Amino acid sequence: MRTSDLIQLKSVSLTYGANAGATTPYPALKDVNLTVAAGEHLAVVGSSGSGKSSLLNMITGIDHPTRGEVEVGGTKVHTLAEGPLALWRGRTVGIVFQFFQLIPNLTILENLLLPMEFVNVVPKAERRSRAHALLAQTGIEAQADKLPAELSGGEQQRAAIARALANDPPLLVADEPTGNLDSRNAERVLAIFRAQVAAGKTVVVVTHERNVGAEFGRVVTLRDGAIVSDERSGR
Amino acid sequence: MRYQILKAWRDVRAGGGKSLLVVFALALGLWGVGSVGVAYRVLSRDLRQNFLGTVPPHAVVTFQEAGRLDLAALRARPDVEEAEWRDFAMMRVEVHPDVWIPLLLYGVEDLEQPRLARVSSEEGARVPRAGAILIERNGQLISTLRTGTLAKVRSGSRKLEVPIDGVVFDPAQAPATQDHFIYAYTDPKTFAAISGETPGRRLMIRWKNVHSKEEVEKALARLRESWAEGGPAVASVNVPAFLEHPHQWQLNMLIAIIGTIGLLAFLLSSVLVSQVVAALLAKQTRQVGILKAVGATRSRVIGIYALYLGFFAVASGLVAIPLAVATGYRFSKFCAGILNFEILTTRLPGEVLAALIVAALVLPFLFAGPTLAHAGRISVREALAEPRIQLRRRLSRRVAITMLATALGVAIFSTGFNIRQSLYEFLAATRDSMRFDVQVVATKSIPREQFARALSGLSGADRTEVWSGGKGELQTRVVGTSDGIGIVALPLRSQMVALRMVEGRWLRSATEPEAVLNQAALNLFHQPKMGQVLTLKIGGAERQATLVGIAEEIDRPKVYLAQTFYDRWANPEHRVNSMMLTAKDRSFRGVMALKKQVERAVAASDLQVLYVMSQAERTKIIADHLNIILVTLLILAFLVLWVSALGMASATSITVMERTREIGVLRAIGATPGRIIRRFVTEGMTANLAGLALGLLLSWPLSLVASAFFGRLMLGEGALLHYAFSPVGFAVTVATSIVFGLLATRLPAGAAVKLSTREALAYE
Repeated sequence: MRTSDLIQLKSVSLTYGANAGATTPYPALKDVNLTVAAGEHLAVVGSSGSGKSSLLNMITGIDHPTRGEVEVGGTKVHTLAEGPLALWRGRTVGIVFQFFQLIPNLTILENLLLPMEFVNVVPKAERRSRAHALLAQTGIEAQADKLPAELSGGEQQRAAIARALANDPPLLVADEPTGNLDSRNAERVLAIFRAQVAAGKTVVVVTHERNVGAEFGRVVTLRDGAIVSDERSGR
Repeated sequence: MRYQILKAWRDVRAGGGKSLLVVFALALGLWGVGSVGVAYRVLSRDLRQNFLGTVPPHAVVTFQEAGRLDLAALRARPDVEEAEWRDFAMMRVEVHPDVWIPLLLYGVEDLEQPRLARVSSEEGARVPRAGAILIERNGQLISTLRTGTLAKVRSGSRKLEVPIDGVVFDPAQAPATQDHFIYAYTDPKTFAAISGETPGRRLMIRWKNVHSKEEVEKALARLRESWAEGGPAVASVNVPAFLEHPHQWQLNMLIAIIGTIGLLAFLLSSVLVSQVVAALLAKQTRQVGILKAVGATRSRVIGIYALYLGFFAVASGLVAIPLAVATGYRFSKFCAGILNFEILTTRLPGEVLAALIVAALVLPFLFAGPTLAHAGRISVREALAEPRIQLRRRLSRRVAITMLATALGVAIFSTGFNIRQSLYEFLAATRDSMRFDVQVVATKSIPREQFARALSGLSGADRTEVWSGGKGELQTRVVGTSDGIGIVALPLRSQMVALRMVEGRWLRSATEPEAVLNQAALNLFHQPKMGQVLTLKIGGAERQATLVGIAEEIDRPKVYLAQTFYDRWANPEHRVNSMMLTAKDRSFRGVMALKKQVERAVAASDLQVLYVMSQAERTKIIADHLNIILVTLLILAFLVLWVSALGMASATSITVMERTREIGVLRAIGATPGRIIRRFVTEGMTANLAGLALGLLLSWPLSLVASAFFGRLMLGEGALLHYAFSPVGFAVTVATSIVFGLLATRLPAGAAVKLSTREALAYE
C-alpha cells in the first residue's frame, strides 16, 4: 500500500449465508481488489444487487469480508472488534445514508453534537461552534434547532452530511445520497461532496445513477459482485 | 454524556402512551412485589412481637388443690424466670338477647402489674373494682358488652350480673371473632366470687435459658420431680407451642399464600413487562445502528439504553413504592384486625425501603436485560436492515408468550376457586361428620340422669345421645389431658358421628380397646401406623388401645374411644359431659328453635353448662377461621388474572403499534375500520381462548398440588384437602377471561384505526 493510498481492498469476497451454512449462499462480492488514494472522488456504480452497498460496508467496517483484507488509513478494518471498530469509524469515516438516518428525537444541532460526544476528537469547547459552522457550510444553519421531521428531504440529507463531517474524518462515504432527492437538492448535495474533495477529503459515493457517476474523478462499475470497469475522468 | 442523556430522555418522551404503558406495567409488578414484601416484613414480625410483648408463660400447671404451693420458693429457684397465679374458669355470658357463648374468666394475681401474660388497658379502669371485670377488646365485636354495662353471666347454676369496668387488649389470645369466646379478667377474690372456685390452683411459669418446647418439658419434669414428695398434686399441665401465638398458623398460611401468589404475579408481570420493554427497544434497533455508525461503542449504546430504562425505573419507582407501602400496611392492618394484634412497625424499616428502591431500579434491567444485551451486540448492518422478518418472529413469540401468560393467569385464578371449593367441601364434610344438630356441654362430668332430667321432653328434639371423656370444654377444643390430647368417649354404635376416614376404619370392637385419632393427633403420636398399640394415660393409669383409624377433622388433637372402655378405665360412675340432640325439623329454623328450647330448659334446671351450640354455629366458627384465607386467596388470584389481562392488553397494543403500516395497507386496499378491528380482535381472541383452554387444563394439576399444600399447611402434616372442581369458579374464570380478552384486544385495535391511511402508511 502506497502512503498516498487511503483505502485498499485485497481479494475481498463476501458471501451472505456462508457462515450460517445456508444451502444456497449468495455471493455479494467476488474477489474485489480496489485501491483508493487520499483525496480521490470516487463513485461506485452498478445496478441493484450488483454489490455496491456491500462494497461500501466493507470500507466502513459495517460488514466484514468472508475472505480478503480491508485496509483503511493503515488500519486493517476487518480485524477490529466491534468496540474499537465503532471508535475507528467515528474518527475515520463519515457515513451518509440514503434515508438520512438522523436521530428523530434530537434536533439537527444535537444530531451533530452526539457523535462528537462519542468520539471525543473535537475539544468540548469547540463542538457547538463547529456544528454551527458545518450547518452553515451545508446551508441549513437556520434549521439547527428543528427536529429532523420538520425538515425537507434535501435538508435532512444535508444535515446527515454535516453530521458525517462532525468529527472531521478523512473519508466520507455515501450510500445513494441523492436517491431520494429531487434534481435541485441532488445537485446541492453533490456540490457539498465536491467541496469536501477540494478540501482534501476522500469521498466515496455509491449510486445506481450512471449520470451521477460522471460528476466524479473516478467511476468504478460493479456487476454481480465484481468490478467490471474502473475509469478515471479528467476531473 | 449530555446528549446521550438527552437522547434517552427524548426517547422516553417520544414514546408517549407506550412509555406510560411501560411505566404502568413496571409499577404494577413492583407494586405487587412491594406490597407482599412490606406485608411480609410487618406481619411476620409484628404478631410475634405482640405475643412476646405479653411475656407469655412457657407452661401452665393446674393443681388439684389450691394453697399447696409455696410460690415465693418457686420464684426463688435459680432456673425459674418468673411464676404467677392466673386462675381460669369457663362460664357463659349473654352477648345478645338470648345468645350465650363461653366466658373465659381469668383471676389475675396483680392486674396493676402482671408479671406474665400481660394485658394492656385500652379503656376504663386499669384494675376493676371488687366484683367487676375487664373484658378483652375483640369481644366487643361479637357482643353488646361495653365498659359501664352489666354482663349477664351464668356460672354453674348461678345467674349473675357483673359490672364491666374496662376494656383490655390481650394479643396472646385467639381472637374472639374467630373462636366465639369472651375473655374477661378480674382480681382473685372476684374470680372466686364469680366462678365459685378457689383461686391459687392454676400457675403460669417461665424458665430461664429455655429455647424450645422440649427444653420446657425437661425443665417442667425437673420441677415436678421436686414436687414428687409432699409437694402439690398436679391435675394437668399444658405446654403450648414454644412462644408461638395460638393463631400463628393462620398468619403462616396468609404469608404463604401472599408469598406464593405474589411470586407468581411477579413472574407473570415480569414476562409481560419484558415483552413491552423489548418491543419498545426493538423500535430503537435502527437507531442503534445509526449510533454505532457514527462512532458509538457497544458500551455507549448500552449506556444510552440503560439511561432510557433508568428513566422508566425511576418513574415506576416513584409511582409504585408509595403505593406498595400503603397497600402493604393496609393488608397488614386488615390481618392485624382479624387476628387481634397491633401493628408495631409503624415506620417502614430502612432495609425494606432500600429493597424496594433497589427492586425499582433493578427490575427493568432484569426484564429487559436480554434485549439490552442484544442492542449492544447487534451489528450496524443488522440494525439498519431492521428486517420485517424480525418483526414477524417477534410477533409470533409475543403471541406465544401472551398465550402462556393468559394460561398461567387463568390457571391460578381457577385454582383459587378450586381451593375455595375444596375448603367449602371440607367444611360441609365437617358439618356432616357430626350428625347431631345441637350439642350441650356441661362444665364437668355429671350423672347421665341429670342430663336426661333437664333436657327430656323437648318438643323439638328427635333423638339424644350422651358422650363422656373431656372435662367439659368447647368440643372444638376438647380439654387437654396431661398428654395434651382430648379424649372423646362415645357409644360404640353412635348415631351422632360419621367422621370421614383418612385411613382405616371407625371404632367397631366391643371386646378389644380400639382408638381412632384425628389428623391433628397424628403428630402427637409421631405418625403411628394402623394396628399399632397406643398408650394413653387415662385417669392416672396407662391404658392400651389399638389404632384402627385416622379421622379427618379440623380440630385440636383428639382420640376417640368406645364409651365402655373409657368407663371401665376412668369413669366407673358412667358420668357424661355432653349431650347431642337431633332436631325433628332439621332445617336451620328448626335447629335454632330446638336450641332455644335447650337454652330455656338449661336455664330452668340445675345443669352447669359450658355451652349450647348448634352444628351450624360450629361450622361457622371453623369457617370464620378460614374466611380470611379464602378472601385473601381469591383477591390475589383475581389480581393475577388482572395482571395477565393487562399484559395481554399491552402486548396487543404493542402488536397493533408495530403493525400500523399493515393497517395503512389494509385500508389502502379497501378494508373498513370495522373489518380491521375484527381482524385484530379475532387474532387476539384466538390467542386468548387458546390461553384460556390451556389455563383451565393447567388448573387441574395445579389445584391438586395446591390443595395438598394448603391442606397440610392448614390442617397439619398428614392432613388432606381433597381436590374439588368449582363450577362457579369455572364460569367466572371463563367469563372474566373472555371479557378481559375482548377489552384487551378491542381497545388497542380501535385506537389504531383512528389514524388516517396516510399516517398509518407513513408510520416508522
